[in-house]
Amino acid sequence: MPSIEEVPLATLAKAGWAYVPDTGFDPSKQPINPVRKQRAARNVPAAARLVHSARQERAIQSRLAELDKDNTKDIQIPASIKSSRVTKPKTSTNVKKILQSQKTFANHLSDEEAMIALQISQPAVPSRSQPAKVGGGAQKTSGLSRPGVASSSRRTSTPTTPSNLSMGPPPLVVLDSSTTDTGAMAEAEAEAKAKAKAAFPQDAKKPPLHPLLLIDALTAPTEEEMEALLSAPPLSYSAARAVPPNSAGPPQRFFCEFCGYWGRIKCRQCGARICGLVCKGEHDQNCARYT
Amino acid sequence: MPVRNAPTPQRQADRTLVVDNGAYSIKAGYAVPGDDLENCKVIPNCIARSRDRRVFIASQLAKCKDYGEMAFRRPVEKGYVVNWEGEKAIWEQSLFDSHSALQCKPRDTNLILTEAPNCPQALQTNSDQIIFEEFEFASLYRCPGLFGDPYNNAQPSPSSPPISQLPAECVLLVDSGYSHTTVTPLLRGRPIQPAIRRLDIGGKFLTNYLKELLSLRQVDMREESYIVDEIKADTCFVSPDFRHDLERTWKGGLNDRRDVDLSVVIDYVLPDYESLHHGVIRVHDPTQTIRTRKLAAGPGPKEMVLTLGNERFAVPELLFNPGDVGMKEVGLPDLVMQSLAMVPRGLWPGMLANVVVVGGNAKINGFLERLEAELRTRAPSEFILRIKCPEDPIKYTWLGGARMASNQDTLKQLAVTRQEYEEHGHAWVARQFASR
Repeated sequence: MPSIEEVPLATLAKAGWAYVPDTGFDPSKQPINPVRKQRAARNVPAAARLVHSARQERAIQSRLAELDKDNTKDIQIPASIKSSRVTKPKTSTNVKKILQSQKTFANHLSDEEAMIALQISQPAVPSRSQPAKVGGGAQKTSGLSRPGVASSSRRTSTPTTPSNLSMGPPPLVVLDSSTTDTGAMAEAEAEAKAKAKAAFPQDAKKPPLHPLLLIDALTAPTEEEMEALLSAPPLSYSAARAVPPNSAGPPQRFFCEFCGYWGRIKCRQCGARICGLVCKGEHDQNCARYT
Repeated sequence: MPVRNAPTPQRQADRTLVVDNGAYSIKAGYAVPGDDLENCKVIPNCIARSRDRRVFIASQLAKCKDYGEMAFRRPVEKGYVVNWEGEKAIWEQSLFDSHSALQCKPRDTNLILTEAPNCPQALQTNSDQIIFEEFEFASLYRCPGLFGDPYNNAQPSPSSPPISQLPAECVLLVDSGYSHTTVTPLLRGRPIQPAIRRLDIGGKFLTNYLKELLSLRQVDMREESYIVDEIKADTCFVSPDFRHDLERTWKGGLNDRRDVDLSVVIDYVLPDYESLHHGVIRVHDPTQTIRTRKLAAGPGPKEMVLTLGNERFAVPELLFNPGDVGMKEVGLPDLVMQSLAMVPRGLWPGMLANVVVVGGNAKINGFLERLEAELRTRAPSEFILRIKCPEDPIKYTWLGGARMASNQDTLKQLAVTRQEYEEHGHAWVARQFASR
């Protein structure tokens, strides 16, 4: 998770130049700056309203990190190791190093990411601890990026990239040779043709078809393709994470802080979500106390 | 390489210990012919400290009488052993100790160890070094805990006869555990690595979310991990229709009060560890709740009652809508489709007809039904969709490992012996596990 830090404002007072946080839309830069808050809020473009500010983003990230913790407080519980094995080997230096290591998973993850970045910048440097490349010469992709489009020509189907998953049209197969030509469909037709060509190069010479006449036929991948799939190297930890949802999808849902019902109202002071007047009274007590 | 006084074994030992080293619990047992889940011991993978400052390691936790304000230290983070110092203490206590159920002698034992997929290389190397140099197991097969067929046949359709001789070619394994939820397509029992996808929500996240909701709305439960875990297991369910259930549990607006649906809203009596050692579910009674809370300082039975309404289904809902807490990841049904998108379409029918859900979260009521309903709307309609949860979703992975280990030839092919490790070093071993 990239951490975006806000530049301390104190530096702005000094002479010369300074880094200024780019917070996107800035009403003060508008030629006409509306006086009323409501009008200002109304004039914010829709796209900018969806994007969180740096502070909001940081608050969300710290909350997610909090939810992913084992204990609320950082606690130290000593583990008293007593070996029950009769013949215990002399602890080797490797083992000592591992046992004394205070690294957390976050440390290991950043190490891994740094190593991947290094391998990208210096691909010729052989790394001892790099995962083995298996499956012959064709599988020389290291497990860094999602092998999506790059390797698609080797497969029967065209795997869709994660961004347009399941919305992508299925690979189409030419069945009938009768042709109807409509100009309006030209674009879709060209696309379908390209897909059919990618899927079955031997069908490339057949005349293009109306998209509606193309049917979805499935063919099992060949033995070599299956072997290539199985011998592909694993992805890195961060590459295997689920991709963000489609931005055109449903917007984020908000819930009332007090009763858990839909958060239909937003507090003007603190931005908390409340369901209605019932919970607003309860919220106002707390909100007034903390501000 | 340090000098050893014990002779290094030339080949594998006779006994094989299968350890599914989860972040919440270790599932360990010897592989013996005949699938007996009784052989699998579930051991808490934690070092815990109670409020009277006593420390409990792993299975000692069962002796604890008071789980209030219990603090936990878990050496496995995100499914990978990160802190070997703590893990060593737990293994010594629960695997090797002469009083433990397993009484393992590592030198005469083969080890099959599972870890979460997509493990950073440094952590894999650490595991190999500790297992061979510190514990001195006779041989090791370290693998992602992904066993579908042919080692394990969950029989996705109850009507079909057992076909253990003819394992399903394709399995889509959904593993929803303590630290995260992963989706893995398996082809002939082997994972398709580039298609493995992970959602960073697991049982721990759900417990913490429930903890946050309860602390914000009712009683401060931030230090009560263990109790909240129990509340989650006792009361949470996945709603088949979230909007409808949210309406049912709403108390209404200021001028149109409504009665909440008592089939969802319940009271939960918290354990006080004097007279009550496990929470009790009660029919919701608004007056009663207010009264006991007010009288908590006075005489009479003092009990703490929580009212659970939409918390019961809003918490597991995160698995399907991570955006509810602002997480920028898709929900589980979309995750399955993302994973499938990396698989040739010719394999989709096989994968969708054999979806197997394992892991602790598979036990949440309604989880399977909701996943099936949502996947049905996303998967192509011409494909059959079958979702099945094995009899014991927690021990399923262990069982797969045990079945694999019962075949000596397979194990010989896959495992690396200590002698080979000492000859070739850890980098060679890492390459072996990556390619086998």
